[in-house]
Amino acid sequence: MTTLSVTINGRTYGPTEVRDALTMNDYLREYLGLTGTKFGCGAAQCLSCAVIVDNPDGTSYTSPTCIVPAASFNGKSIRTVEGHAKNGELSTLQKAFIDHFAFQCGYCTAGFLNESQALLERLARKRVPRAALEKTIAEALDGHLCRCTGYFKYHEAVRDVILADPQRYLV
Amino acid sequence: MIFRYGLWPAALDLWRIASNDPRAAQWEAAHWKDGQLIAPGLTPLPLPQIAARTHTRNGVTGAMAHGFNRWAWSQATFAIDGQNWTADIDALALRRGVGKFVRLDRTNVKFPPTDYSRSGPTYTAQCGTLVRIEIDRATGALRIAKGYSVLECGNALVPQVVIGQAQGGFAMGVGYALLESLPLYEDGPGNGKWTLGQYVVARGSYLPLRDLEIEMLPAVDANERPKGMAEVVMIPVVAALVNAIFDATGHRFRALPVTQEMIKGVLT
Repeated sequence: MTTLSVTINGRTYGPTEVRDALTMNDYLREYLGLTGTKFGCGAAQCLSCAVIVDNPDGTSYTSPTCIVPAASFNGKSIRTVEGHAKNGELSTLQKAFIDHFAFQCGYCTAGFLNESQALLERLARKRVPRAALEKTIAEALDGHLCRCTGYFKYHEAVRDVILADPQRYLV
Repeated sequence: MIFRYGLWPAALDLWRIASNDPRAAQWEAAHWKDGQLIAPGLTPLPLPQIAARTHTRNGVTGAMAHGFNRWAWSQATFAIDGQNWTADIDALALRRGVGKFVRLDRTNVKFPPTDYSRSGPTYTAQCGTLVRIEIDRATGALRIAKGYSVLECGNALVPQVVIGQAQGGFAMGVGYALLESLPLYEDGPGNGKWTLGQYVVARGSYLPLRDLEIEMLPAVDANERPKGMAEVVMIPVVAALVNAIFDATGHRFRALPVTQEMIKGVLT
């Protein structure tokens, strides 16, 4: 057993005792009822389970949760799909996903949302030239699997958000 | 079509029967036997001889038709060699000699009433796909430079979802044609140990993310009800890809998936 304290969407959970073998995905879904994070392939190959991990220095990265022990998130601060909307207002990216009909069954959506949000924040910190944008989006999202809309609309949505605010994201 | 407007007129030519001779209209009395055309009271003619004459007189040597069925067939009239020909098809293209196929204008087009759908049979959407691919000679790596799918699904309830399904179907078709292998027996996915590492499906990087065009045709008629289109948008993608690989390499693959290794193996 390990003691786990973790900040999720700005709220601190724990300290609580968890089994060493408990995955972060089970912790989120079964212990906390945060079922927006999905369990997909169970092998970190589809990334429907990905969450955002925020570093103390303001940078962030995404991590799968399905094969990662909950204990390894001890002391960390993460964001899940439940944390994007503020006071019932969807984020710009969430609205873009909806406007573009980016998802249909929705199973991959939380993962795509977290990955794309992390990308936006990374670009806001370090902008890229317009010419590099397509490759940047493609590489950022390539780890995520989608079997309904075949990626096209996700990519369009992310591209639109970036191009709507070029001073923020582009050199 | 090829017999009636290609071979039969050529045979009449060989028999020296004029077009106003009553025998010229008796094509239905003729039949084939041992590669020869037999007609009552006339010398049997071998197919190669008739075919050669068909080519020299620029007769019909190829025909492509499109039909549509909803308890009854669509129907249309086509003008061929000065005659009106009506049949249970709604599109016709002919090739003469070694020329290109030319689509014929149609008149008196009739589609069976939409109400006939109530007779029980269900219909799915129609879909066709074209792809442009590039194959790296050294590695056999295939890149889809452009894709185009065209479909008719009746009156689309939510067009954005139709487009999304068509895009997703394209992605699935790419996986089916190039990546996804599900072998039988102990080593296959049935052993319960497979992950997406073995069962490789299409990721964004396999797709023409900025160069896929989906054209949604208007419904065949105004009362056309919506038709299922979730699977059909995947099927022609596979044929388009394998045909494109044949165009590029000259090799006709007979099993799926056609992997990079397999393509590399047939490149000279």
